[in-house]
Amino acid sequence: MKTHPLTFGILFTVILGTTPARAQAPAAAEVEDLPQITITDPNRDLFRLALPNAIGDGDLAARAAETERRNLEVVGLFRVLDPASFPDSLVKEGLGFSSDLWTQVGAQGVAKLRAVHEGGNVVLEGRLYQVGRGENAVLAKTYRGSELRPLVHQWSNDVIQHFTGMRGVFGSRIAFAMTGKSGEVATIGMDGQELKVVTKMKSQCLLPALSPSGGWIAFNSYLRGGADLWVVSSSGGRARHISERPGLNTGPAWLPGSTTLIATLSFEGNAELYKLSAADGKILARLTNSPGIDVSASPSPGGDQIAFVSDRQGTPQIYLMSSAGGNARRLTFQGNYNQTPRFCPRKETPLVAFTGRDERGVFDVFYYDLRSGKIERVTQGRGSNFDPTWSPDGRLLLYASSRGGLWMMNLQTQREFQIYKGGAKNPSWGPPPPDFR
Amino acid sequence: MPDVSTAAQSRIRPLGRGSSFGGLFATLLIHVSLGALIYFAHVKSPPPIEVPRDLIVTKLVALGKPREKFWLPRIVQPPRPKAPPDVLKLSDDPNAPVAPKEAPKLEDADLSKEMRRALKRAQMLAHALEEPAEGSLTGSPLGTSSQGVAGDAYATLIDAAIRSHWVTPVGLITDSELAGLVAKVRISISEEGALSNPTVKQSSGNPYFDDSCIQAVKATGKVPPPPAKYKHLLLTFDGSKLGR
Repeated sequence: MKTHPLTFGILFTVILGTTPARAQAPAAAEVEDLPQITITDPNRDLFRLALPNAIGDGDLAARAAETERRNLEVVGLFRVLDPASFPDSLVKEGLGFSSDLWTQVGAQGVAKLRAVHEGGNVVLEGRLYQVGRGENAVLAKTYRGSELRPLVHQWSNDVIQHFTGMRGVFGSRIAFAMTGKSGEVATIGMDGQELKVVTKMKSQCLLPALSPSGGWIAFNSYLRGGADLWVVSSSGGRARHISERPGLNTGPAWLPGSTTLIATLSFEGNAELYKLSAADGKILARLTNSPGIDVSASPSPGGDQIAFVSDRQGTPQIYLMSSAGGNARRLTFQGNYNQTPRFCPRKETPLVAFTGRDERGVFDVFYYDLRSGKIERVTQGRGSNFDPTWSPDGRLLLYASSRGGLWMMNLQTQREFQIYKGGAKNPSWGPPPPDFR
Repeated sequence: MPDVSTAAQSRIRPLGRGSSFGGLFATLLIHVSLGALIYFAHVKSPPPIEVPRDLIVTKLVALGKPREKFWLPRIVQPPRPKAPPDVLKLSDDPNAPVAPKEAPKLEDADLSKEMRRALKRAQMLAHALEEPAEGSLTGSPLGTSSQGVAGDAYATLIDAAIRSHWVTPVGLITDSELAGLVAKVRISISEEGALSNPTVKQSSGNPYFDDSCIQAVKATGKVPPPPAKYKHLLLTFDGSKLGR
């Protein structure tokens, strides 16, 4: 409990009611006659959500509950209560709900699941209750499908939509470059499950970028000695070589809604940004022409602007230019080493996340607000954090860390979770699931 | 090559009689001079400065009678000014109506600029004093309350009890949204102090904020037995954090 030293955190007024409340008076007048107390300075915490064990077919129900728990924890919106603290009366409640009993365990909301096999399919029933909103479910859904996980993801997205007005993005995937013994490109679900290695290059791969459709991954590989550009299906298979020009062929990024890549090539002497066809690597346009090195392009969600890194004024800084090239303006003036800009995919929030090196030489994640021109720090005091990438809904930032693996943070609640513990860098978050709107 | 040692020896002359007398005289003269210098420097140094001091002689005597006030020094105070003729005298009737002196008006043409400013300020202060008898949440800028009201201690107790259970969900209400949210909740208190029937009488417009108010009352559950006048209360939950 927070207490202000001057006012003890309250301003209260007591009206002693010189006129006693009249039984026959209208309700409004009765309220005005009551003694009043004003309470201010509320505590701030995550919404306390209880997730009791799912009911239904044994192992299926257990997996459904585990996936739901993982989803609703990593999204950083809820404080998921430990089911071990629930009394037997609540455990035996089934899909029903008793508001008073759940109040006693401190829950503000309760999400319940029932998962069963039915005619070769999986049927998942979800019920969401809120304390103080009566005994009926505020959200009730039934899903049917061949696999359990996509159904639980849909339920999780519906729960998030109920609370925030915008669907969650469970079901979307993240590509990244593995580090350590394997240098391959892999993908993983945003809940940190279903790791899939998609390349077999047997050489260090870097900077994977998921296409706008999520079907392809462009990346760098040193398989043939130099930094070359490759494209592989996100479901795996044989990678296709698209640029092996002399010098650098690196840093691919996809233009939204297209099969066009923006990459850095140095075959003309200096490292410049070019537009390439992802199909055959053919150069479509040259975007920059500066004495510095121009790398790490990231197009805006509308595709009309490109953020990139250039050292044309001495140190690596973030610049912004038209997607047709030219008229680049410098965005960052703080720090002397800013890199890996990534545009937020939501048009309503024009933010550019990037990696910055602070005065102690530590790398951390920041974002630049194009509306205000201000920079906000996202990570601090927890190792070095770098290579940020946005969730498709713009609510979460994912990044690699010197602490190991991949970490995800909800920008509103500042809650951070490690979703992958293996060696990883250069994450690239793909498009939202098909039911996202 | 010439023999160096032989050449050096040839330049050394044997000591003669004349030269030894002159040297002895010179040595004697130097020693005498040095002795005279040392003597004048130390023996004939100026005498030490002696600060002349008067001797103070005290005598122990017995205390005599205290001196009369007449002989003691007195503070001479200026005479009190005479009261102006229109001041109410103690001998007058205190309840008698005093003829009001006509105050200057803003419309008066002969008023100075300073006087006009002072009159305007006085009018503003008069408006500020016309506040409701029960005061306002933010208090009066003039601090017109002169005493506490009975029941404040219990109100503070209830406030502390409910506020400790009041949690607004950070992920569902942003800080900027919270600053503009206010809800009024009516509650009942039993003789034992049990809180019951929390009802939103004025919604904040944000269901999560309203819920948090109801949940705060329910989670508080019970408070110490209230004074007789506290059967029902109207709680105003204010998210603007005025207390900070």
